[in-house]
Amino acid sequence: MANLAPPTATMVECIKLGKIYPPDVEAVQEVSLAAARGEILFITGNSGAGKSTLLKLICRQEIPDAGMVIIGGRDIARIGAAQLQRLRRRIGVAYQDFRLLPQLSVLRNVALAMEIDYRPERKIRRRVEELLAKLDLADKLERPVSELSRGEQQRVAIARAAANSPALLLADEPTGNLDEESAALVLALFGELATAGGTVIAATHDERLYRADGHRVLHLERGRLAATEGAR
Amino acid sequence: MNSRTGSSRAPKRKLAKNPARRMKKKDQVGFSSFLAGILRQTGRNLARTWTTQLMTLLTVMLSVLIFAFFLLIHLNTIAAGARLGEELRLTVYLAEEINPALQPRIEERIRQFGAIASVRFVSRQQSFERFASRLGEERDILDDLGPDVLPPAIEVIPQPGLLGLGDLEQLAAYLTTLPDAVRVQYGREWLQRFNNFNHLLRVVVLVSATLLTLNLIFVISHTIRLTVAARREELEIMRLLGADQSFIRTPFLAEGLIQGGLGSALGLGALMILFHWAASQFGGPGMLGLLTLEFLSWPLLLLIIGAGTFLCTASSLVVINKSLRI
Repeated sequence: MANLAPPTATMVECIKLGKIYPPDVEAVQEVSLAAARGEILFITGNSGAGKSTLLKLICRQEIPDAGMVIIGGRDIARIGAAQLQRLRRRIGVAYQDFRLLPQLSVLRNVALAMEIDYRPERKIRRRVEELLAKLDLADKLERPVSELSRGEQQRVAIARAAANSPALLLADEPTGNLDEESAALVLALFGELATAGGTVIAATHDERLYRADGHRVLHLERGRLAATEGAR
Repeated sequence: MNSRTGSSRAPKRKLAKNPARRMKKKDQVGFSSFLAGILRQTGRNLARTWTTQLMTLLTVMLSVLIFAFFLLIHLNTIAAGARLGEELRLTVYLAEEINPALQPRIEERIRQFGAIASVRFVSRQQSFERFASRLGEERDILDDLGPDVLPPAIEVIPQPGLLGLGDLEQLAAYLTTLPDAVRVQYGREWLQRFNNFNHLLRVVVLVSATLLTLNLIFVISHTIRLTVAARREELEIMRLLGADQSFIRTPFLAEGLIQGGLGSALGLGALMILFHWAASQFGGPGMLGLLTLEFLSWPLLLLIIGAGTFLCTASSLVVINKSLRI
C-alpha cells in the first residue's frame, strides 16, 4: 500500500466490478463506486445482495471476473504477491465470521495484525490497550477469545482491523451482534479513523449505524448498485 | 527565527499531506523489529507444540548419538591400527648371512620398493643373543646350542603410511626375491582379520549415517508437517492480514535449525558422557596400549553439529515450500 497511494482524494475506486460464482450466480454485477480519504461509506442491501462479495473483491480476497478495483491509484489485480501482502497490511478487515483464533487471548488476537507488520512489542501493547478501552473490552485483555460472547468477539475483530490505523478499513456487518451502546463505540472508532484520513467501508443492515451523521450509503440489490443516499 | 520555525514545520506538513510517503515510511521494517517479530513468533510456536518438539528433539539426539557412537569406534580402531603399524615389521629369513660389503646394495634394493622406514641386518649371532635375552633366566637351555641354530634375517620396517594389507603383501612378495631369502614373516592372518574388522566398521558407519540421515529427514519433515496442519487456520488468517513470506516461513525454519543444532549437541554430549565412563572402565595400559581411547576432535564435533543443523533446516525448508504455498 505504501507505494500504491499517490496523494489523491480518492482512496478506493471500483469500476464495473463483476463476480460470478459457479455455476452461474452473479454475486456482483457492474458495480462502480468510489470512496474518498476520510470518508465513511456504508453498503446496504438484503442478504445475498452482494455486500460481502464486494468487500472481498476490494481486499482481493476474491478475484473479480469483470472490472477492476483501484486502491490508492493502483489496479490491485496487477500487483505482485509481495505488494499484495503490503496492501493487506494497510487494509484492516473486520470479517463477518470474525476470523479470530479462539485459543489465543484478546491481546494476542488484536496484536497479530501489528506483529505481522513488525511493530515493536511496547507499541503493540499500548495500541491494543487503547483500542480495547475504546471498545469497552479493557478488562478482557488476557481472556481467551473462546470465552467471550459473540458481541465481544465482534468488537475484538474490529479492534484487530483498526490496530494498524489502516488507510482503508473494510467491515462486514460490524454491528450484527452488538447492542446500541457497543454499536455507538464502533461508530465512534470508525469516525476517529476517518478523521485521521482513513477510509471506512462497512457493509451493514443496521440502520442506526448508517442513518447517523449523514454518511453516504450505497444500496445493493441482487448484486447491482440500486441507489445512493447522502452527498459525497 | 520564523524562517527556521517554518522550515522545521514544512517537512512535517509535507509528510502528513503525502500519504504515499507516510505509508512508505510505515513499510520500512528495521532489522531489530524484524528479528524480534520472528523470535517472538518462533518462541510461541515452540511453546504451543512443545510435546511434539520435545519428541523430535529426542529423536534427533538419539540419531546423532548412534551415528557418532559408530564413528567413534571406527576412528579409535583406525588409531589403534596406526599404533600397531608403528610396531609392524617384516622379517626376511635368509639361508646364508649376507656379506657386510653387500649389505648397502641389498638395502638400496629394498628401499627401491618405496615407503620403507628402516632396514636392519641381523646376523645368526645377533639372533641368538636376542633369543637368549628373551629367555632370561632360562637361557641355559641354549647352552648346548650354537648361533647356527637360528637363521640370519633382514628386518624391514615400513613407513606408517604403508598399512594396507595389499601393500604389505606386495612388499613381502618383493622381499622374497632378495638373494638367499627363504621366507618373509609379518603376521598376515592377524592383519587380515584386523583389516576385515575395520572394513566392517566402515560399512556400519556409512550405513548408519545413511539410515539416520533418512530418519532425521523423515522426523523433521513429519514434525513440521504436523505443526503446519495444526496451525492451518492461524496461517490462513495471517495471510489475510498480510503476513509476508518471512513472517510465516522463518519460524518453521528456526524450529528446524533449533531441533538440528540442539539435538546434535545433546547427542554428542550424551556420547561424551558415555565415552568418559567407558574410558575409565576399559582404557589404560591393560590392553597392550592398543586401546588408548580418544574422543572425537573439536572440528569433527562441530562438523557433526553443522551437518545435523543443515539437514534439519533443509528438511524444514523443503516441507515449508510444499505446504505453505501462498
